[in-house]
Amino acid sequence: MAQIGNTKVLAGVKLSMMEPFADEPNKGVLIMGAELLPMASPTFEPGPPDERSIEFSRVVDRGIRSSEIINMESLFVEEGKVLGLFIDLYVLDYGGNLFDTGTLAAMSALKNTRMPKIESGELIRGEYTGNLPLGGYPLSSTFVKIGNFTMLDPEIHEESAADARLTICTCEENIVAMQKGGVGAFKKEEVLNLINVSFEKRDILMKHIR
Amino acid sequence: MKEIYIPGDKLPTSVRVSRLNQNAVRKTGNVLYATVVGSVDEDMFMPFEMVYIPKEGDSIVGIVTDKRNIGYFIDTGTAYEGLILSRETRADFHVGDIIFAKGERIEEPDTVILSNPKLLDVGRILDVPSSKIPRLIGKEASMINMIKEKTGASILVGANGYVWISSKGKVNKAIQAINKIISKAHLTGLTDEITKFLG
Amino acid sequence: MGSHNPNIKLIVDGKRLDGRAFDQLRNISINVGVLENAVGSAQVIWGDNKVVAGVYGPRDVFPKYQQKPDKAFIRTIYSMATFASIEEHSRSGPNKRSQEISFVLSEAFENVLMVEKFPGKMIDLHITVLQAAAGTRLAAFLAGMAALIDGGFPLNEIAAGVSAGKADGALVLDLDKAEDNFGQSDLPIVYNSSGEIILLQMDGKMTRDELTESIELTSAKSKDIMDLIRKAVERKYAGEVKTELNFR
Repeated sequence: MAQIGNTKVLAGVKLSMMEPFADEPNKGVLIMGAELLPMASPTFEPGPPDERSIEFSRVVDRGIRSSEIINMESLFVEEGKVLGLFIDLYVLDYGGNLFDTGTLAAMSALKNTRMPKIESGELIRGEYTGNLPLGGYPLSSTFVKIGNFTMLDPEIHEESAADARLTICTCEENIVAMQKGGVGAFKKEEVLNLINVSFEKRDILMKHIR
Repeated sequence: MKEIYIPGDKLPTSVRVSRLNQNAVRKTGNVLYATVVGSVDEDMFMPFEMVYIPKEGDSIVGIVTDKRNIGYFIDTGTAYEGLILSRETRADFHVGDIIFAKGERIEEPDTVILSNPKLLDVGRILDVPSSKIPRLIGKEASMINMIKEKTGASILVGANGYVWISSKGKVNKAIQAINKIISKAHLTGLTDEITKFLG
Repeated sequence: MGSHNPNIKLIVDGKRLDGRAFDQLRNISINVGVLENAVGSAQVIWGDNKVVAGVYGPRDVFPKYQQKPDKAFIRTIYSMATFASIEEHSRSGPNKRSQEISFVLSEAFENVLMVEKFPGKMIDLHITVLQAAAGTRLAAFLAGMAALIDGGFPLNEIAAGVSAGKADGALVLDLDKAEDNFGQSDLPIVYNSSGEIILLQMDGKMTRDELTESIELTSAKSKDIMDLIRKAVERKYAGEVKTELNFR
């Protein structure tokens, strides 16, 4: 679980045997899901995912998928069978900035993911063969703009007051995902500056992945 | 062809805009910018298309749709409903009546309080895009007056886009003239063309 | 975005597969006033993308709780026809991708629309992709933008955007289908006429330098697209106004 401020996100990873996608028969499948649990906020209703939930899961997914830190070919078992890697994010408490907390939770969960034992094409539950190898750590920084001020890691009131929001996910030397939200605008220089700040913040976030 | 301005374009310094068209421009500092597509005619910015936003003082032609204790509800053909307050009028209207009134004030978010309502005789109502109304009226009402004189029809124009035409006079000719103006409002030579058409 | 497939060459002999220069856009045509009933409408043909947009409003807000007392509520519904993509017939109705694109577009439109002029009302943008060929959200934005202008909605300024990406390691603008599927990055950006960024998304991998260059290139190109909007409007008013939808 990752907690930034009052935001608590629990990430769980499960591996299951499944059929590969037709256009990529030799690769495993990465599937990310997210739920904004109604307990997390008076503004979360039960029911089908709303805008916030969809944006949250898709943006976190993008960062992890684009960074290519998981060798999807290594999840191939045999013809017609690959491992599906399911990452599910549950928001337990909402205090602003789901993106950064969610990405941090997902990466912590992935770091501790154990590979299941596979025998004769069958997955043996309960037996493991080491950890899932990761090629890097995609981590995100989210900024909001309120009037002429830009701030990192908005808490819930800063998020509501924000004119615009920018989430930048970096991995090693690359930018691997970005998402701008809100009605306001960013100048080009502002975006480039925030990218630099995102790289600077990686060390702090990395310290929390154990 | 006249120069066409699109939203965000800076307008020349001498350009003004009429009261009816005030939403067609925005002022930042001392500079006017177009907010909709239009052109400049004798230093006045004329929008080609603009959604109707009610303003105080607008003349409204409308149809009574409901009579309740609070007053008469009026269909204006726009997203904004008209309301004639019972306490402000002694008139006795019925559902379906056509009225001509003045937009007194806007009751947020989308009701226009109407004053001085007059019942209009049975006639025709044309639904004209409200952005064409200034062109239909013309400079100092020259265009609409010409149509009224040459056809003998009584015509009342609402800023909301409803145009009432009485059943007297050459009604069809008047309607044809109005339709010509709507489709050619942005072209030059329109006044001459309408003058010739009306004979 | 699809996966990087080293067997597919996107740049051959220093040229892109369709012969374009690295910073060259596909053909774009815009027509406004194509639908009779909608308050504003437009069609966009961008490469092989075909998009139609129809705008309604200002109208009463439904459901009522979405109503905002001081400004209009903008709702964009982006959808793809079931036959739009070259893949299998897809299920009709919104999926998560369409929903995300819908509200990302809404936020961008709201930046340029003078929403404070319509307190308590709603403006509906219906944008449908009839044929998809990469860059659909930018073509959809362009169609929606042109439709708003066509409908006479007061705007602070106009906006347009283009995507940047990487194909075989080279920076290219306006990804086509192959480059989107097999390239290494996809970065759609929309700029308003003041040059500010009002829509920005990215997936794939780019270094800081590549991103900086992408922003410079896309910013310059967006102005060319805004010029196309101007020309489309001028064409509408060149003669008598007619309503015609034609994708040929």
